[in-house]
Amino acid sequence: MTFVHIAPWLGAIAVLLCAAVFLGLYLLKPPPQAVIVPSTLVWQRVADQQPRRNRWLRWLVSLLIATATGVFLVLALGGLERANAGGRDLVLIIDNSATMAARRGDGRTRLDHAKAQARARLDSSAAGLYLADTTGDFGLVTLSRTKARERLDRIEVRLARTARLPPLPADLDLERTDVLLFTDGVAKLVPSSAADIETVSALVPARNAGITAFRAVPVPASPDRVEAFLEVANGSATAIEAELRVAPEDGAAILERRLELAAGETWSGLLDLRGIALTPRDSRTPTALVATITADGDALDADDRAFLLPPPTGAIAVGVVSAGSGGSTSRLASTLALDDRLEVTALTAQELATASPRFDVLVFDRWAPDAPPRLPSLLVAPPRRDWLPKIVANGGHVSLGATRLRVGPPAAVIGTLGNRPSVDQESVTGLVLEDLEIQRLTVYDVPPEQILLGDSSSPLLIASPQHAGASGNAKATPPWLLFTFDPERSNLPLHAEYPILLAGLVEHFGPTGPTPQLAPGLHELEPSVRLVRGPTGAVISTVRSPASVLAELERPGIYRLASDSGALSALAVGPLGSAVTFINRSTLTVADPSGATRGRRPPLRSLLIGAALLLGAIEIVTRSQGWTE
Amino acid sequence: MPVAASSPAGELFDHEFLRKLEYLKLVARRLLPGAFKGEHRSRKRGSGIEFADYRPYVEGDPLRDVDWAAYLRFDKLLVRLFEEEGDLPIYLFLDASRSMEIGDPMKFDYARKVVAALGAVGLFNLDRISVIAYADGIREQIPKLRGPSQVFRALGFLSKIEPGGETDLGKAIRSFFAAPARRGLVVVVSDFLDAAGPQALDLIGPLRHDLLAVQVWSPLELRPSFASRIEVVDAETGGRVRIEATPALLRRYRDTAESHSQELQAYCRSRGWSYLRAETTTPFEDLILGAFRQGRFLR
Repeated sequence: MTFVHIAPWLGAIAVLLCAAVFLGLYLLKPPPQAVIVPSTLVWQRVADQQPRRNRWLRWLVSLLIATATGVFLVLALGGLERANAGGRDLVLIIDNSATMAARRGDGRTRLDHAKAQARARLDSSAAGLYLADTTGDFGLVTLSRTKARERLDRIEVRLARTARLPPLPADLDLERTDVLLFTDGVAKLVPSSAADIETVSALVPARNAGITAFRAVPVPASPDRVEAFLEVANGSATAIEAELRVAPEDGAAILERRLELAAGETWSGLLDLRGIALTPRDSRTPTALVATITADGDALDADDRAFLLPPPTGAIAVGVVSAGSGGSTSRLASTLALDDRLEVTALTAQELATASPRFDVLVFDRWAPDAPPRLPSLLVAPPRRDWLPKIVANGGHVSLGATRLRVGPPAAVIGTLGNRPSVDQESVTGLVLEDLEIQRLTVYDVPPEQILLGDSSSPLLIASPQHAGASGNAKATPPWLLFTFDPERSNLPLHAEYPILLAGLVEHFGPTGPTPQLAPGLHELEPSVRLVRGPTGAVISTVRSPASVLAELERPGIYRLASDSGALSALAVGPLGSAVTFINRSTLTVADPSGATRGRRPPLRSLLIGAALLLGAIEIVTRSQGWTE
Repeated sequence: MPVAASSPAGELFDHEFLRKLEYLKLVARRLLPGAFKGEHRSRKRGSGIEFADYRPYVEGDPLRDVDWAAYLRFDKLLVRLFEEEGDLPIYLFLDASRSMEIGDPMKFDYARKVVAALGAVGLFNLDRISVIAYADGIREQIPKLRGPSQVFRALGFLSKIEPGGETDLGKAIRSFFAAPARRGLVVVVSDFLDAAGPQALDLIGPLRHDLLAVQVWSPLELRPSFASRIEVVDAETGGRVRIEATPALLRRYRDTAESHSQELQAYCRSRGWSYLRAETTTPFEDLILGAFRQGRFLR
């Protein structure tokens, strides 16, 4: 049992000091008021009428009542807790998911209130004290009160992390443990064990309108056109009038609109970006589109702005290089030329060596230079070169995921492609795999990490050791992709999807492809990324490994990346989504605005005060009736 | 008889009240012999005008006292006897102990006014009054005043008395009546908060005096209203009693104070004496002109 949040030995000292003070006060107590009367004759007779035998007992009873009343009041005011009666452990779990950033009426966030409530309960354990958040920053470990207070102060809202209950320590005796979860109940937290978790609500309904989606989507009928899809939701229980504004960074608004959103209503719209001057293809600093929603009394800021990086404007310059003759070159070039986004130039190997036109991407048709090219390249059935993976065999028949691919003669190999996630590789999006027949397949000896499509026994698409990633790549180590089959001997070019496949592969090289929009969270970036700056310009800490750079892109916004070669790129992160914008979607009851903790058991303080009041009333009645002295 | 405000009488009561006292007369329940002619009936047969009885004529009786009509009717010489109207010795005992200092108005002031009024009534009726201020014995006394001319002397004497000392009524009575004194009316004006109780009056009986006991209470004594733990201090002895002034205890106190009065009243009644209870909240004139007359102590 703890008292006034102090250690037991300090409590013992405090009790002794209190006893000394009480004794001193008793000895120094003022004498009863002296009243001069004509004679004590009558008073003495009255006093003598009192039954002497019971006087001492009555005095004792009165003293006990008064003492008990005082003790109860002191214990109640001192915050006596019974949580650790019998050595109970206390586990405090703080929900720090995104909706806990919502402000309450007093301007403080739900997390602030949750922390205040937790702080009040923090010292009520003597046997064991555990503290954790729900986003993994702080796991459940036993702490001293001082450490727990420090850690509690450091808990912040994590916008991007998935909230989940931390697993309770295996050695915790759940029968002797109080587990308290301070939450607004919006994040769906799954109990991690059979522990009886007492939920302390931090929920106070608030008004909030937020942007739940803002992303670039190609126009299906015209792949070179991009629209911005925008979605705004009212996460409140009341109607909201909000101002929506979309504008380039530091630019004039291209959309301003007043939205009247009913409770829970979602509004969405498409914004045609054609004709809007955004980022030119040769620009090193992408221009972002910013959507902003403004509403009175909005409780959550994090979902009020969303960012989008539109694809660069202009066509991709593609050079199709062949050995110097053959119809397949013209076929490959003409196929690529079908895509409006590509500006295709056919040239021979000699022309490539003597002239150096400006290309974004090179496509090598059954030919490859002796040294790695200095531009992002697509190699289609190249001959043997030292810098390319070693050819092991030709022919075979493979299956891609659940789809079995026919491989025509003279197939010699091959195995299966397995269930690699590369089935979802964007370059094969749009292909009808069941119709795909590979007439001729070359098998390479290639490390698994370089295989984008297929597996090590039958790779379909091979990437360079440092292939282009989501954020583009450094020009010092240009990426290349390698088709292992010969389109000339395959039926693939006859498929309607073939141009899409080719264009997708070309766009895969980064500088010319659309900049993907990422969900807030932990992301793996290219190993060449040297520096990441967040939306506010602050440097984001990263974890570097040989294969990648890990960075937590938590807040929605534009992140600027700098690579080792000095190249600059950008990433758009966010928005947070409707799960966050609907900040009142909770099954919990509304929290007490005063921040008082609601527990399963009636607070001991209330019981003590009630007992003190009862004893006080008994004392008054018995004294007024003369039952006690 | 004009009374100046600065005169001793003016300090005690006003001129109008003093005039009213001239028409009053102290009543003794017993017929007591007076040494001088006065306005009180007495057992002594004398030269009064009130017929009392007949007796046979003996030699030497004045012939003017013979009832000749009775002689004609009964053929006997009978002498008419008349009640002699004598003066009444009145002994006014004023409690001047420290216990009388308490109250608002002070009990002593109230008692002094009662004694002054009774003394004035006695003097106006040619009674012989003695005023004795006592505490644990006789503190001061002025004996045997007679006649209206002595009123201011009596009032002046009373106005100079200051309360002090402990109460011992028995000792005062014994001291006073140690000297020969005619039978008369003893008036004791006191709070009777005497440790000896009513027995302090025991000496009055054998001396065959009539007695009027006037017990003066302050309302604070009868109905105290303390609200906490207190220590009552005896104004005379300094004795202390700690009490918890609960409503129940205060109720018991009131009952005890009431029974204390009733004991004294019963004691007086058992001896044929008179008892009057006076509270200092009762206007003084109402007490004299009302309560005293209703109790037939004055007429």
